[in-house]
Amino acid sequence: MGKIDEKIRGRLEVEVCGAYVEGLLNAAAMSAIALWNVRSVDACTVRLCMYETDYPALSALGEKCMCELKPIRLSGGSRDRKLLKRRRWLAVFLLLMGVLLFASSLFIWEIDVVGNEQLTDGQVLRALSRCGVDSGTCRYSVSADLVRSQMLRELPELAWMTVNISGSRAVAVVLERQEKPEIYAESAPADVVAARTGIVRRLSVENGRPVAQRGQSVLAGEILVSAEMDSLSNGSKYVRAKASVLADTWRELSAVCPAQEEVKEPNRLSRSRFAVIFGKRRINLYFDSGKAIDECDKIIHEYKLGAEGLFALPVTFVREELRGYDSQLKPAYDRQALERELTAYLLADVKGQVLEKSFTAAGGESLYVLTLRCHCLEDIARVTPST
Amino acid sequence: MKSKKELPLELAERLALPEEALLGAAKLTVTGGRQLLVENHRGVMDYGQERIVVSLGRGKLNISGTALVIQAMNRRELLISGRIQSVEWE
Repeated sequence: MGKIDEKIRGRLEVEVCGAYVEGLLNAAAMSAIALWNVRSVDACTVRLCMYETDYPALSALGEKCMCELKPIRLSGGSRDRKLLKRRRWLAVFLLLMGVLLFASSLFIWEIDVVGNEQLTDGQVLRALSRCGVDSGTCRYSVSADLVRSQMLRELPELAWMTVNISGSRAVAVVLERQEKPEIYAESAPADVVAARTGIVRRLSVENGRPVAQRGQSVLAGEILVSAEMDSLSNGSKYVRAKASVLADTWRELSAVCPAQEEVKEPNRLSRSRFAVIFGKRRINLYFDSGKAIDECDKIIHEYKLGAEGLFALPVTFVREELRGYDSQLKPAYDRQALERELTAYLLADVKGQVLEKSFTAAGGESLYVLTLRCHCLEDIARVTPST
Repeated sequence: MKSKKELPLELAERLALPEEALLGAAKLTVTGGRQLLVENHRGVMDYGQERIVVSLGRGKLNISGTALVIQAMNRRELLISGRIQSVEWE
């Protein structure tokens, strides 16, 4: 049996005594009186549960079947109603809360944005506010179609959007416009140029006319293989050059960081203060609005009233936690970590192998500079459309 | 020649219809030896913690076990729970 049903209609536990108790059970079943948890106590006695409202009918049947009924325990039903009658103010309060809950469910109190990658939540929320969807807006006054057309005008980055409202929560689902990709012509004439400055060690040409030679030093951007080729019939023809050019290159990477930094050491000073936000109005439950501690971190905890995903109320409790700290100057760099970072950066950029590398450190009072110098053997060929 | 009483049975068999729907025959569903549902019963004849006798119109059902409890009962269905040891159809 449903617990809520039992609470409203009242669950009555009854003891039935009689020579033929089974007759009463059968009569009750025929009269559509719901009975459950029928337990035999002895040969002439059973205990059963029933709805309080069915008791008069079962009592009448008991007389017919010569059984004696004795109520033992009542939960819910008239008992709870009597309790509420006695506590009139509690009943009024519960009623008022119910009305408030119903009234607040007619308005939007929480807006979430999903699907945005380039646009920030704030940009979408501000545009929604301009289109009439804001905290405190009546949910029935929002037309998804109207909001969509206004939003697409407000934010040109949007391709599509909609607003789903459930209870007091609105979810703005946005789809951003995709940038048109650059169209790449596979057969267009193109040269192979040097991506980096270096000395050519090996040149393997698949298509095009080689311009650079083995052992020649080239600058970044210099043409290595030309798209222009001699043609027997027409003077010259243009092709898409393709080549692999291995070259010795030298690189220098530097990491610069402050020599010292301020590090926070938490101290024992801490304080909490509270505030309540009704809709958009904030009421501070403290008097001094400034920082209570000179150097401190402020951590804000917000507790929204309502059930997550079901409904939201326009009341938010705020707890601000102020945690004090002392500042101390400490070395800001870790040479080994910087070396690892520079090496990882180098390996991600080199299209070949690193033959040799060395680190040098320099710096003054304020800055620390770590420099990585290396000799690499890599493919420097880069295809660019010929001009 | 079939008797008059057997005609509905014959009809249900020929039409492949469930007997409990056509004739109101009793149907038992036992779940793991802990729960027994009797549909189309005609009332409880005897009730105790170790034995329950249910009338089925055309016979009776003896249910033996321990800690037997009538979980729910209405005009058509009877739900019995407890440790069911045997079910006899008379």
